[in-house]
Amino acid sequence: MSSSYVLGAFASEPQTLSALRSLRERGYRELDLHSPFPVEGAADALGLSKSWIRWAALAGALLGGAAGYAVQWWTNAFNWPLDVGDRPLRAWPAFTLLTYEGLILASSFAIFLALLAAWRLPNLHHPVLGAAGFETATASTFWVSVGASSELERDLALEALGALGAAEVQSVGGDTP
Amino acid sequence: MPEVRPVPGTDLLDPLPLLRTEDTSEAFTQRLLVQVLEPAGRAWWSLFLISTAGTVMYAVAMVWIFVVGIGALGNNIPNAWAFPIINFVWWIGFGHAGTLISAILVLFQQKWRASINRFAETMTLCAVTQAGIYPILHLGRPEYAFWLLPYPTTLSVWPQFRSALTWDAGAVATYLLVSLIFWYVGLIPDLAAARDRVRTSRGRIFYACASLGWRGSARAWEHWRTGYLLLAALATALVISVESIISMDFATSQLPGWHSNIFPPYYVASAMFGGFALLLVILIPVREVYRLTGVITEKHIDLVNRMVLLFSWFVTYGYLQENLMAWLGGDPFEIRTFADLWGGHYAGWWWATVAGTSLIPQLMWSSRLRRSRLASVLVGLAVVVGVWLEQFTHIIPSLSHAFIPSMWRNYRPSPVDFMILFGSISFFGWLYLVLAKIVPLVPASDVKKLHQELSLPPKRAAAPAEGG
Repeated sequence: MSSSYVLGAFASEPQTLSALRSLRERGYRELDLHSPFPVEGAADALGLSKSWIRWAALAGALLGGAAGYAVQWWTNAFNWPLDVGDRPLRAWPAFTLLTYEGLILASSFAIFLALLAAWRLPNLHHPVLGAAGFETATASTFWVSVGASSELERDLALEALGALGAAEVQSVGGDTP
Repeated sequence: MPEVRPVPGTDLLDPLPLLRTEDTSEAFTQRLLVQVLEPAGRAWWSLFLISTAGTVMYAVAMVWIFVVGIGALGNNIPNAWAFPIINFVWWIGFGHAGTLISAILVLFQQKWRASINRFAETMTLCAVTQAGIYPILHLGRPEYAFWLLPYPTTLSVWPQFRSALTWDAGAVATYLLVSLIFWYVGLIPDLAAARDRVRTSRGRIFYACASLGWRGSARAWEHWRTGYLLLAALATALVISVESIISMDFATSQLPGWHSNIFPPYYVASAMFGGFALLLVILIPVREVYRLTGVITEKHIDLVNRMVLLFSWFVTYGYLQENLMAWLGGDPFEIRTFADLWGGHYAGWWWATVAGTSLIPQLMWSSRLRRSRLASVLVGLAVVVGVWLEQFTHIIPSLSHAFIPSMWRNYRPSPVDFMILFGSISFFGWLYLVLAKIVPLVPASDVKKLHQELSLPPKRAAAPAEGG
């Protein structure tokens, strides 16, 4: 993990994306973009792989559906078989409804928990949040961040971001005050 | 394909703009978060006091019902399902339009949802909360409500999952939780925007915790988009199933007028119908009070009104189908139930339903009325009342005219019935007002993204192949 982050602000999306691309070409790998809304093409420019949230959703759905059916079968047909007018105990048409609800509920919870894990949130003390003027990242400014694990890397990144036309270039975290 | 992309507002076929604003700057963000950042005005406080008074009345009525029992209400055999179930189905229906707007329109990539989805989702949460209270009030033994959960108990009995009551409990609880997750996931970026703008330190701490330290990182957005889309897909599947399950409470019962397989789609349509109408009733005053006319434009009002008109026809088709089936089916009890609506004891309720849900919405054929704020609110109110009456005319006449004469008895509500009806309306308003003060009601990140898409120059490489 990087000990400090170098940040630069950009005003427009195309400018930000070309800055990200050129930083990647130069070999920077710990890149990120902080934007007020999802930016088309940012995933490409950063070389991000597809989100794995979908697998969490699938796992949650399978587990929830199975658990939903199992609970109904075990309680009503196995553990406490209540004969009502000789109607079938293993009444799958009636059990379908709550199986379906269990599937959706578990899948939604799985998505939510997976999102928290993927975001590594909650984290109220990320160094980037302390950057001067970073509140514009939720208004209209695009902040490019470069992870740096040594002073040399940090200075190089500061220089590179400045050369790409970023405003408010600064470094946060690590040994910087 | 030509590279020209119509500038919003200049298209002759589509003259109303989706957004009217100058820039995407700090000021625009502040405007989108206005109802969180600005102190509450006189309109908010007066509505808050009224709804608090109504909520207190609701609490009194609840205590009354718990102490006296179900006899405090007008419910009596054979009319065991009266106001509590009417109100339950009514409220849950309002929730559905919220999910429709935010989830189904996400899947169809409809841009007009951006400005209004949070209004609708918040409406869902408040409405489902109201709906969830009624079955408990109606249990008669509310202290045993938890018996509906399959928890291990020394009694070694379990809930009966072949019964519709457990389906309701499961469906409504699932709906509330999934709506809450969907709402919150969509909200996190906007809570972060509020964190960065709010001026009090207490507010900053609250929004910092609520937004979990959101930094708008590209990685986080990538996961957010996938997660949000999947949640939308799940919520869409869920909303259809919840209302279908509720309609099966009726359709699986052996009563004239209920035992019909048109009920699931019919109930889903009726739910969406009422929800869109209630959305108009909420949206327009908020838009005026907070001067959000550039974000929620005549176009949105126009589109919501079109949905009201569309669903009015779905519901009207349901009425025709139901009556036709009763007539063609030839079952004397079923015919008797519907005859009671057309000219019998419940004729007044029935014709008021038809007026509110089938006739008055036809005004929305006029494009001038669709864009008029007053007409929209009035038609919205008529529909909101109309769908309540529709539930009444579904539930009561069938119950009071079952298959044997000993089950023939007309229904009359008691004053406590009206207390819980207006009490829950007040509680809904109270919750909505409180949430409106805490939570950004305009999805700021969505609107800014949309604004940027609309104002960007056409791309050079790709032809603009976007469906409307």
